[in-house]
This record gives sequence, structure tokens and C-alpha cells, in this order.
Amino acid sequence: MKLFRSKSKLGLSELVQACQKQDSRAQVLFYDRYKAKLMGVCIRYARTVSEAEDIFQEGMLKIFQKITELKNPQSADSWVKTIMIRYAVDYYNQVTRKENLQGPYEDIPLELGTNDPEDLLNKFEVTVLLETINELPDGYRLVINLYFVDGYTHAEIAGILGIVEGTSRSQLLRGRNLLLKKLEQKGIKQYETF
Amino acid sequence: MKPFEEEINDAIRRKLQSSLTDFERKPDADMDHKMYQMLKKAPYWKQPYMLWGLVGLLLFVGAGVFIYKEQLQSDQPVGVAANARQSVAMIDRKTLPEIPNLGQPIVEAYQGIPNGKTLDNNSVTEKQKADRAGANVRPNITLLSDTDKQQEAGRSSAHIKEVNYPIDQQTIKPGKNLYAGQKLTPEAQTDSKENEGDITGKGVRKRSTSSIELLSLRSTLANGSKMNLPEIGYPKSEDLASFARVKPDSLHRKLYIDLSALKKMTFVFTVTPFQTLQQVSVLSREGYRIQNVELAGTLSTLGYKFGAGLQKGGFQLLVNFSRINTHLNYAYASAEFKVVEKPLNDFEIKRLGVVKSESKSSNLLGLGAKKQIDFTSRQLGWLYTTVGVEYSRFLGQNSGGLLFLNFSSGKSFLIHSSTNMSVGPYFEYSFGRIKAADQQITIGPSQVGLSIQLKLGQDK
Repeated sequence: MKLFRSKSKLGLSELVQACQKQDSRAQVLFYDRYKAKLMGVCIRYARTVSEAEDIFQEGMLKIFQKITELKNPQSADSWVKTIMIRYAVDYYNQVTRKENLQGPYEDIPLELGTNDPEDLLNKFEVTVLLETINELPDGYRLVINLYFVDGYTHAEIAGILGIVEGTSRSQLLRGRNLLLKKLEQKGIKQYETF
Repeated sequence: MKPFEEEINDAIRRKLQSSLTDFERKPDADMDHKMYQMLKKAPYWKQPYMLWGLVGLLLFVGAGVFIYKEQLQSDQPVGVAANARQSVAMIDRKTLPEIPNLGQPIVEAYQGIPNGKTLDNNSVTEKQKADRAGANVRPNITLLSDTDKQQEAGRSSAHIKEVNYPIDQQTIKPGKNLYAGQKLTPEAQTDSKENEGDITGKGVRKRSTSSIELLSLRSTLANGSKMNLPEIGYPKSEDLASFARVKPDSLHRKLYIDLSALKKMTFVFTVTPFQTLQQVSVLSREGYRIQNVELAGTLSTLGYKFGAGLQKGGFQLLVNFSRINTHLNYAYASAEFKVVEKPLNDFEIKRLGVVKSESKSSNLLGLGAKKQIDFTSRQLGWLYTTVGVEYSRFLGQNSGGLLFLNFSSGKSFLIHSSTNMSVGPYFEYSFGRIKAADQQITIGPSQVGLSIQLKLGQDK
């Protein structure tokens, strides 16, 4: 009972331990702690908001099912993110055919109107960047998120997606070029609006 | 990798990581509410209504057992065994000397028979014949003819014959020792010697106890009054003939059926493993489309039902706990289509979708009423049929309940003198539906399984 009274002041380790004991009140606190961050992950990996919500709901339940496997409670921040990313990938593995992840997509040559890609990227707000990434085909979107945002290596990406490392590299290259092309097109439209 | 490519990748990584790594978005209120509901739901064994349900079930079971024991204790001896005990007790040699005036009525009864006359059927009046015919002939007579037991009680086989069969001139003749030439117990022989030639009335007080019942019978017949021995009467010849044909097993069943008419309360337990047959309905809704609905394999839809209750006069009232498992696969149609080229310039267009696999376990607690009919078949033996209704409420997150109509029929077995088991196929139809996670999908669960029923306290 003492534990429940002071639940709002629990540290991360105690919170994780209480969740491991299936304490429903601790689970609510845990959910509140990570919900915004994990919904952000889902939005990045999903094509639409409704798909992101599906992934989020199922992924959260998966986290509570697997939380007993978390040995080091202090690493909970990165652990929950990893679980959610993997669930998002699984979600698309179910609907995206393997050949779409393996390629071949048509080669997209890199044709930038500027020599400084960072300059191009800096023109856009987060929401536009996100929107553009979401418009990419499943295979490209997953690889770009995994490589550029979440910092996975090609070997790790190959393991997660069940593809060979070379495919991961080529998918990233094509996805990157398509992203920049789309952003450039959006940039031109932005200029035209002004 | 070219330096330019590397430069581009680094630039993109820096920009995307700074913008998106810590990107957060709060779920909307509906999502929060849904998640809170899921998380706050205690495991079903911790839910208060489940606890109260279990407490209720235990109280019900306890009350049933208590009533059953009370009945066992308070029951007067009825039926075969009780009568047999009573008959043997009356002629127990050891008990007789303790009854001081026992000899007097015997003398009086004996003296009622006119001297020098034999007692035969001709000497019996019409009223007495009617009494004989009306006497209750029960199978318990066989127990009286159980020679070993009677001899243990101090009776000879000759005596038993006297009691159970019509008396004729040869068996009852004044002045003749009825037990001459019979092998008797030492005590009986002593008594017989003492009483030898005493049939005319002399020394009646010393008469062997083994002949007391015979004399009582004679006096009863002679006086025309009904003998004061319960459950013993003259069997008609056809009764004896039909009785001789009865096999012990069928006799047991016959007795059971007779005794069930006493309408005793019986305690009933049921276990029913079953498989759920799913009837899926998908309601249309604007905005999205559900497609490729598939029912899952057989193992994932196995469930069970436990019940406990009471039966009286063939009517059962049961408290049931059921676990129904449903499992189906479906897909949310997406805006993507796949064109598959076929021979002869034909194309097949498939709509892609997000596949969902949903399995759900529903726990239900409810009350059921059944009517059970027992009957016998010459070929199959003892059979039963039950028809019943049940209303059960969902335990857990789901609200509402389901109304079931159920039917079972099969074979009954006696596994103990007071316990029988019934086993047979079980079918249950549900009038309600279970909602899937997507509220547009509802499942009508009907069950097919095996009903195993245990009844305590039937055969007393």
C-alpha cells in the first residue's frame, strides 16, 4: 500500500519493477510517461495517422507483455523505443510484399538544384519533412527512418527487415534521392506560392 | 562511397535527427481512454464480480452438499435394503428373549387354528384371498431367500421356504416336526428337540424362535387379518415368474427409476469441453472496408464450461462458468491495388490491405435451467436427454450477456450406488453476439462439444 501512495514519485527503476509485477496503476504511469514519444515514433513509421494509432495501441500492449524481459530498468527509454520500432516494421512486413522491400524500384537519379543539401532541408519545417517521408513507399520509408533518424547500421537494418545488407544500401540510396526530389518539388511549390 | 554522397547523407542525418529523433505527439483523448481502460482492467481473477461469483458458487455447492447429507441422515429405511434389514431383525434369535410377552400371542395365534385341521388354500376365505392378492409383492423377497444371510440370523432354509411360498398340507401338518431331516444350526437343533412333538400346543413357550414367523403367518391367515410384517406378502405365480427373468443389472435400474420418483434433490456437476463455431457478421461503415475475413483453425477456438447445481424431479438449476475463444483473421483494405497479369491478356486486380489477426477469450458466468429425461433402451441401456436455456454475463471488459439454448443426449452409467455419470454430445446455440475489437465485426458463438455430467445422491 505504501508503494501505491507514493507511486507518482516513483523512479524509473521502481516504475519498471511495478510494471513487471503487472501493477495496473504503475502501467498507467508508465504509459503516460512514454505515450507522446512512442506516438511520435509511430507517426514517423506509418503512412497515415490511423495506421500510426493501430501500431501505437498494439505496440504498447506488446511493451507491457515483454516488460518482464527488461533486465536493466534504467535502459527503459531506449528499450521501449526499440520495441515500438520493431513492431512498426512487423506491421508493414505483414502488408508489404517482400519484393517491395527487396526492390527493384526504378533508379532515381539525384538532381538537386543546389549544391548544399542541408540548405535545402533547412527550408522545411518538421511537419513537412514528416509528411514527405510518410509519402515514400513502405520500403524506402522504413530504411530512411531506421538509418537516418534512429541510427541503425545497414547490417542491423538488414536483420530487422530480413533483407541483405546490399539491398538496404540500395534502398536507402533510392529512398534518399526520392525524398530530396519530393522536397525540392515542394520547395518550388512553396516559392510559387510566395 | 563518394565524398559528395557521404556529405549528403551526413547532412540529411543531422537534419532529420535534430528534427525527428525527439519528435513527440500526444495520442488523442480516445486513444488515451482506450489504453487506460485496457491497463486499469485487473486480471479476471482479481475482479470483484468474479470473486463474488466464485463465492456464490462455493456457497451454492456447500449448501447442496449439506442438504444432500441431511437427506441421507434423515431418510427412513425404504426400498429393498431397508426391508431386508427389518425382516432379519424380527427373527434375530438374540433379540427375542428380551421380549417378555413374545410367547403369548404366538400361543394365542396358534390356538386359533382348529385342532386336527390342516391349513390349506381351501380354508382361506375370499377376503383372505383378496388380501393375499392385494399384498405388495416386491423384489425384496429375493433378499429373504438369500439363504446364507438368513442362516446367519438363525433361520433355516426350510423356514424361509415356509415364509415365502404358499403353505400346503405337506408343509404344515399338526404334530409333524417341520424341521425333521433338515440340517440346522446347533441352537436350532436344540430348540427343535425341545419342541419335538409339541406342535399341538404343549410347551409352546419353549418353541424355537426359528418357527415364530411361520406361526405368525399361520395365525394371520387363519384370522383373516393382514400380517403385521411390512413388505412381505404372497407373490402371485406370474410375479415370481417375471421376477425370475429379471437380471440383476436391469433390476438395479428398475429400482433406481422407482426410487427417483421419490423426487429427492440431486447434486449435479457438469464439465463440457467444446469448440466454438463462429458466425461472423461484418457491418459496413463509411471510410474503410474490411475484407478477406477468415475463420481460424480449430485449436484456437476450443473452450470449456463448468457447471454446478441441483436437480429435482428431472429439472436442473445450474450455475455455469464458460470460457469461449474466438479467432478470426481479416484485413483493412488500403488504397493500393495489385494487378496480376494472366494469360490471354487477362488481368486480376487485388486490393491490398492491412492484415489483422484477432483472437479473443470471453469469460461468462450465468444461470442455466435444464430438463433431463432418463429412459432405457433395450439395445443401448440407460440413456438421457437434456434441453435447457442459459443466460450468462460477460466477465471483464465486455458488457452485456448471451442467451443460449442447449441440447445434449447420451448414455448414463452408474459408477457408484449413489453416483451416476452421463456422457453425450452437446450442442449450444447463442442468440447473442460477441463484438470483436473492431466494433463493425460481431461473432455469434455456437458450441459443439462433449457433455460430462456427474450426479450425486440419486440412488438411495
